[in-house]
Amino acid sequence: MKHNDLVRTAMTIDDELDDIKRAKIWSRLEDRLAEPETPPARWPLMAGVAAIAAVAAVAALALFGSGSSAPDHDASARADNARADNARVLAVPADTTVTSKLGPHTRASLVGPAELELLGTPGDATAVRLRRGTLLADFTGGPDRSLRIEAPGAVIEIVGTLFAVEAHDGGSCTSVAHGRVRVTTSARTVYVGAGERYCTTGTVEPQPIEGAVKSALEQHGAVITAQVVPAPAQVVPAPTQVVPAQFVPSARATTNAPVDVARKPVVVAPPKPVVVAPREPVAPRASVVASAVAPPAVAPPAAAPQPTPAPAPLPSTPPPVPSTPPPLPITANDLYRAAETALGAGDLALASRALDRLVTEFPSSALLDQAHYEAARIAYKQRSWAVARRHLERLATMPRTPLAEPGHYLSCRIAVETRERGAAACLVDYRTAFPRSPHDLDALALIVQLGHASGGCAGVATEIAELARRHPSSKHAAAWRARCPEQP
Amino acid sequence: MISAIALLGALARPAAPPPAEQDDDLLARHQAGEPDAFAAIYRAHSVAVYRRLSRILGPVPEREDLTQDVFLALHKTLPRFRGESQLSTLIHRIAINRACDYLRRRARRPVNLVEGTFFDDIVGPASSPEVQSAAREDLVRVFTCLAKIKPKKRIAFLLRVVEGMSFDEIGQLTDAAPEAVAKRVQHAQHELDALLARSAR
Repeated sequence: MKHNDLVRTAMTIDDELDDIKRAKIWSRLEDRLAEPETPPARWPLMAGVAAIAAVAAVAALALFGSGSSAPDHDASARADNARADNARVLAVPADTTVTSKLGPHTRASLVGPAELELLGTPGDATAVRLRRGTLLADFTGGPDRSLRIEAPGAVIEIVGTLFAVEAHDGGSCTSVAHGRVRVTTSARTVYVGAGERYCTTGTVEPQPIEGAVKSALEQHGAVITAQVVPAPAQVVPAPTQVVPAQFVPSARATTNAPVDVARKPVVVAPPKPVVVAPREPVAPRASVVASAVAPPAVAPPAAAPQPTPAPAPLPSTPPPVPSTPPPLPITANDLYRAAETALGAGDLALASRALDRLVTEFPSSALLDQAHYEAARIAYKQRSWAVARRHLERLATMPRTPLAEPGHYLSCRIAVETRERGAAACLVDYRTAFPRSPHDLDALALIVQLGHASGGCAGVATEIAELARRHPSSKHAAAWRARCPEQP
Repeated sequence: MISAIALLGALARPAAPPPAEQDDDLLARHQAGEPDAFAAIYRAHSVAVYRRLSRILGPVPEREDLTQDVFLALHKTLPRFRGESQLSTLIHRIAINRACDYLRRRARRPVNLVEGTFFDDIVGPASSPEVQSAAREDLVRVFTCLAKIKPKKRIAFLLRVVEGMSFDEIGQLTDAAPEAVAKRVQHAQHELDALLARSAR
């Protein structure tokens, strides 16, 4: 029994879910909720198909790469391996940009001098290693899709975004135009959000993206948009033509008949804008809803490699304009999700805009009280007291909201911050209205602090006694007891 | 003066549990297909679920994943839910089941219980090095001994001691009779005391 206080302390000291964690969990949860459920009865069939595919892949490797497997042909094996390695490495000389496809969902530009190695078989889960140079890429995310980039000093995992990775000696930098990526180094994991850049050898936290990289990403995004979605584009005369190369080697190419991609005349072009087209012309909703947090990368499936489609040069004249589907209506949930994601990424301004729009356009939404509360919290962090108060006043008029308690507490916090006379009274009212609130300790400690500032220890003896009685193991109780010892 | 970080931390503390009427309203909206309703359910209950998991499992890093799993399971369950209990009861039953599964899985493999920095946060920098060291050792012993108690007993014990719940309430959440809960709590208390006494020698 004597240990139960210690148990209570240990199990409650770190039991709060802050906004960042809550937003991260929701982002991941929402992605999982959106995934189609796989019928369990099909698992044996799928496992059988996967097993057959794996056997076929092994047989193909044995057939096409027979020399490499014999133990008494080491020299031959090394030569085969070297050829295979060459086929899987895209080397780009200086002053050259290669526009290529990495697996089925990624369009990439490699700015030379650069070397990019394809790891495994490209598919829904694609992995590459950037040895040096700069990689600009646009990855179309989706369920079970992932792109993993190994760069010096970091592993970057992407779900769906426009980004750049630069490999330097001993380190790498990741810049994100939109969406969000996860960068894992030996020391930590960092989420890099829209407009941010993180270097493994630089500062601890992501910094604003640099102008040159931002410009390159915009150019890359414009080129990719023009290739993927032929839009009424403004064609700018360019000195040379960019030819998209298909960097999806077949099984034969990776084992027995290597293709030196680096020597193929796929692209010779300076990194200049060739086609300027509007970004994301298809789904305006996508611009509101930010990318979700990247889930862990999945291992590439043991499926047969895809055949290499023929390279298609850009049309010299603008292609016919496809019919654009009508924009999807934005829902309150979209806006809230955008705000959650922005909050998770630390973009308070974006989160605030999304929430403002939610409360304006969806006054009957079930998320209205949450939106007001979050908007008030953001305004509080930005010390925009009037804005925070406005949201809290609206929140206070909502009946039966579970956010009445934290809303009331936030109002009192603002009163304390702005040194209002009624701050202590606000906290007393709050404790009366919510006697078992999770903020009780902090509210009581603030009352003690405010009372001590005006009346000294004698003025807050009752409150300190209550603090010690209700929260005996808290730091506040110990600190105030030490400062104002109990009088005999 | 309370620091800005402590201030923000305090503000992030959880809301009171939502009233049952509001849960009913959200549930009806969700079952009627309103897309925002599940997000509202998550918002209303995620803090309490995370707290409950924390108070059963301690400060393990898997709490975020488990919280996510709880709401995923809830989303799958809600179409079949006919209001046999309160929504919050359903959610916490799922959370406790997930916690129990986690503890069973963890019992089969060695793990680092808690990071060292966690203890530093608890003990506080103002204490003397001797006090810090002793407190850290105490906490390590508590977590180590709790890890040796069977999941069902551990959960009943912690719900009783940390959350202050009655045997009836614990029984509703763990699908056990109050008498069985009382025995679990009693056994867990004896085991913990014995383990702690043994580890102190």
